[in-house]
Amino acid sequence: MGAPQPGDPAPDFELPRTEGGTFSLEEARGSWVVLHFTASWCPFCDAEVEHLSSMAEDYADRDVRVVLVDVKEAHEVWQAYVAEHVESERLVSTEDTDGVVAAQYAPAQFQPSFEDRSQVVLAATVLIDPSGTIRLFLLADSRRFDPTLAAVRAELDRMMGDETPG
Amino acid sequence: MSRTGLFLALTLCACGSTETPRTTATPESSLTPEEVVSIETVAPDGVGPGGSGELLVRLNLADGYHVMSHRPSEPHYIATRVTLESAPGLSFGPPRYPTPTPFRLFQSTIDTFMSQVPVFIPFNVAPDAAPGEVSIRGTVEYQACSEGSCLFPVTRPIELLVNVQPSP
Repeated sequence: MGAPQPGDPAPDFELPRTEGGTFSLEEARGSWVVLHFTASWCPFCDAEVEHLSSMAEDYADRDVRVVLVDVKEAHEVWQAYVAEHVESERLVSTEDTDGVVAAQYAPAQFQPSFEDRSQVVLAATVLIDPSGTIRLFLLADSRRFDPTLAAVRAELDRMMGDETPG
Repeated sequence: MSRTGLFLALTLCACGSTETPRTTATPESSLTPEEVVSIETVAPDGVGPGGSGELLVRLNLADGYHVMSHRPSEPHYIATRVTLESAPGLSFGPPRYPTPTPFRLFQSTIDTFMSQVPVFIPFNVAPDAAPGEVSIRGTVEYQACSEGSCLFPVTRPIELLVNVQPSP
C-alpha cells in the first residue's frame, strides 16, 4: 500500500467548516483525530454518519475529535444534509470542495485507474494520533462493511489503553 | 468478470514501538464510473408521420455493482435518470424504468438496479413531421456502488437516431 499509510505522518490540511470557520489538522495536534471521507449521495457514508455522531459524543471527553470531510459537493447540498443528518454538534463537518485533501490521502496503489484520486477514499476512515501519525487506515471494505465503525472504536480503545469509552 | 472492482482494503496498524505494523491490504483493480456501466441505445427502424414507437436505453452493469433506482430510497441519493432533449417532429412520454432490486445495506435495504437496466421511452411522430433522420440527444445520470463502496455520480451523453419515413 502506497503512502499515506499507517506509520506515516498524516498530510496536513486546512478546510472550511460547514458552520463557518476552518479546521486545521495541524492545530489539532495533541488530540486524537478520526477523519472520515464522505458525501451526501453515498449510501455507505450515509449509513455511517449516525455512528460517527455517536463516536464524537462517546469520546469527546477523551480528547478525540471526529471530523467529516465532505468530498466534492456544493456547499448548499452538504449543508442541507448536515442540518438533517448530523446529530452531534461535536462532529466536525468540513468541506473539501475540490477534492484536493481527499486525493492527498488516497493510497497510491489503490484504484490506479482512477484519474480522480479523491474518489479512492470515499467512506474511508483514518485514525490519527496526537503526534499527527496515522495509526489506522480503513478503506471501505466490500466484505466487512460495518457502519458502526467497531474496528475504529476498538483500535481507539486499545491505543488509548482503555477498553471502554468514557 | 476479471475486473470486479471492489474497494477492498482493511489496513490495521499497531504502531507502538514494540509492535510491527501489520497490513492486510489487497489492492485490486477497479472500474471507473464510466466502466461500470455500458450504455446501449435502440430506436425503431422507421416510423411514419403520426406514428409512435419506443426508444430503448439500456444500462449494462458490471458484475458486483448496482446503481440507485429511478426513485432512490433517500432523497439525497442520486436517481438513475434518462433525459432526452426535444427533437423536431417528435414528442416523448415519461421513461419507463424496471422494477428496482433491493440491496441489503447493513440493517436496511435500498432500491437499486443491477445487471441490465432497460429504460423505455415512448415517442410520437407529429403528423406533419418532415421525413429523414432525426437526432435525439440526451443524458444518462447514475451513481454506482459496489458491495462496499461508491463511485462519484456521472452524467453521460447519449444519442439516438429515429428515421422518420415519408408519408405513404
